[in-house]
Amino acid sequence: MTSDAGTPPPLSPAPLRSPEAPVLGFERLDPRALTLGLLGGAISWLFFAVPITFGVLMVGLFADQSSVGSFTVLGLGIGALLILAVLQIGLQIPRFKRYRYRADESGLEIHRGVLWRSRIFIPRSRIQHTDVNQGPIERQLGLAKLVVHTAGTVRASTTISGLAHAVALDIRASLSEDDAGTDGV
Amino acid sequence: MSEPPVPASPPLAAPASVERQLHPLSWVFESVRNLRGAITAAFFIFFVQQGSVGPRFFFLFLAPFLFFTGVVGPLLRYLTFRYRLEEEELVLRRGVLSRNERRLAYSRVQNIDLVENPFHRAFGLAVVKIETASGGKAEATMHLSPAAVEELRQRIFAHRQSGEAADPATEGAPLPEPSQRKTLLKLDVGEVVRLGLIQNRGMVLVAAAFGLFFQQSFIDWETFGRWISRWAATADVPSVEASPFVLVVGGALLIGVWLVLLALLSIAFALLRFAHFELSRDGEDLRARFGLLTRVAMTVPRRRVQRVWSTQTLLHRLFGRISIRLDTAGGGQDDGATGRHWLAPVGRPEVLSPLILEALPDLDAEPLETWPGSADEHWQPIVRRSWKRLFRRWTVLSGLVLVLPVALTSFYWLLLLLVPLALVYRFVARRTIDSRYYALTEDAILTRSGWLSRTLSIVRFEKIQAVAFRQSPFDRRHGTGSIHIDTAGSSLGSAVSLDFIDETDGVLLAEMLHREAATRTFRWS
Repeated sequence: MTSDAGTPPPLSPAPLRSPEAPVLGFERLDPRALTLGLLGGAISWLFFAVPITFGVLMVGLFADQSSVGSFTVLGLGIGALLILAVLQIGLQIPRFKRYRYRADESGLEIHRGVLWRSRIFIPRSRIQHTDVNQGPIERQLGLAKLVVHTAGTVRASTTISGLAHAVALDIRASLSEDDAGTDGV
Repeated sequence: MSEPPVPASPPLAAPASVERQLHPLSWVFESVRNLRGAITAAFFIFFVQQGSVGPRFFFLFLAPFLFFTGVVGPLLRYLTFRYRLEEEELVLRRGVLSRNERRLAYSRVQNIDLVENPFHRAFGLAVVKIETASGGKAEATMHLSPAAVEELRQRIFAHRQSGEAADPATEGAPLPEPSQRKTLLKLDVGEVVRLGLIQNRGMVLVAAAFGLFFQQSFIDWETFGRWISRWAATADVPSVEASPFVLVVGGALLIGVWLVLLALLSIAFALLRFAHFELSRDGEDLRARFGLLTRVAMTVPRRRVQRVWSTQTLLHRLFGRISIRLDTAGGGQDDGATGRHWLAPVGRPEVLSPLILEALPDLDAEPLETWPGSADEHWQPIVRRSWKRLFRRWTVLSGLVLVLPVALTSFYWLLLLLVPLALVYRFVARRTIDSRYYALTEDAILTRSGWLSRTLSIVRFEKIQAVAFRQSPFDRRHGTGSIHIDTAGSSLGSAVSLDFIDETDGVLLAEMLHREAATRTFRWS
């Protein structure tokens, strides 16, 4: 920004980068991340689907047929299952397609989200430490999660999930090189 | 953790550091503090389980518990606790079965608080709280004698000043003399009384008392009623016809007495907590001392200030005052108890710029001149037409809240309530949006918001930990977004955020903040 004190710096209007457009320096997640996302979505969908199915069956079998329309209950149950399937499993596809990240000399930048979109910026010099985690499914797929911790409070840690394990290690190494100096607080 | 035999500090530089103990009476104070919780708990158990808890329960469960928390625990802690002032760090050792050694580098200390209540003073000791940026509880809480406190403080400050000379950010500036103390703000009794009326803490106390009063039936309302009627009979109170006039006057009188009582309570509370408030700067440290019976002294190195913010509520405006606070990275959870972090609990608007410049030296203060008045050209507005969205959001939400009762009771006229509500929303939404601005200086971002109750926040680029630009589906349709700035000092929900900003401006601003934050520390390294 300009250095003349007092006057607000000019925010010259520049064209917004569309997340779809291939932007120089931005990386996408590993293709296997889509599999991981779909699997994770399916598992969390089951957590809701099993009790809902059970509840619908119970109502259909035991409720007084005249008081509760069992077809209404059945309809509501199936509707809920479908909506949840779209939200938890279906949204994984655009989520994967939209995800972009960039690790450069100024830090980490992430573009993500489908309905609620966010761009997250983490200055390199504020990174306190980083974790590379692998869950059981991720280990099978050869993927890893990169967790970046700052001294912040509301956003004390940021996670990129769905990176190839080697890539996660590379990013970690590139983010943590030469941070001699202050403590970032 | 076991410690390797090789000392961590350079063996040559380390003096023959002596292991020190806490003040001999520290265990008594700790015992009282522990028991206070236990006694309150016992009190509640007693009242909730009225009657069913007999002496057997007391002797079987309560007494051993009280004995352990009140006597054994504190005594053991006192006997096993040792601390040592090394060249670079404070070393704390404690524990009986599992031993723990904690090393606190002086350079990482964020702030030091000192608390003294009348009992502490009578027995000649004080509580020191030392905080680092790790958040949560204070890293070290110790009962020490004043001499030991002074020694500890000098160690930490001496280190900090010698350490600062090597820091390129302050290089060239002469080393501040430790005795260069400059008083910045003093509150007299009148100001503290105003503060009490503004903070209105009496309400909180009354609410708490009410909760206790009605939850527990330790007042027998029936007997109470009988007393009243008996008193009325014997005292020969003339039985007044309940005319509307009497009811109105009586009601007004009651409310008046109630308000006066509340105000008195609030004033007493403020006097207890903030009497003798004095803010000063000693070299690079901001110091505040306050309190009537329990005296608190806080010390914050000013380069540890994460955010400065000022508020003006309606009550502030009534008295022509504002208040200014600062966030540090230390603690955060227990500041309610000591009430620290005040730059000025109450002050005239004129003190704002000078005080903020003491906390954030060399800040470009021009945008501050219009606070808390209306914004000038230093301030950038957000997207003004967004008031329609706010208005629509509130109206739709109120409609949804009303729909259920209306559908259930079929009182369709209830929906008419939406008309006056919508008019109010329209008015408020417009003013809410019109009051939001941001300003950029060479090294900081400032935001202001609020129509009736106003807030101003200042964050230096070098204190920004992360920036996010977010867009909800509605934001995308209207070409807006919101910016969220995270700092190390923001307690939950108080991080700086700026919504309804134009999306192009927002992305550019977020990228700019990111770049600035990234380069700031590079210059320091």
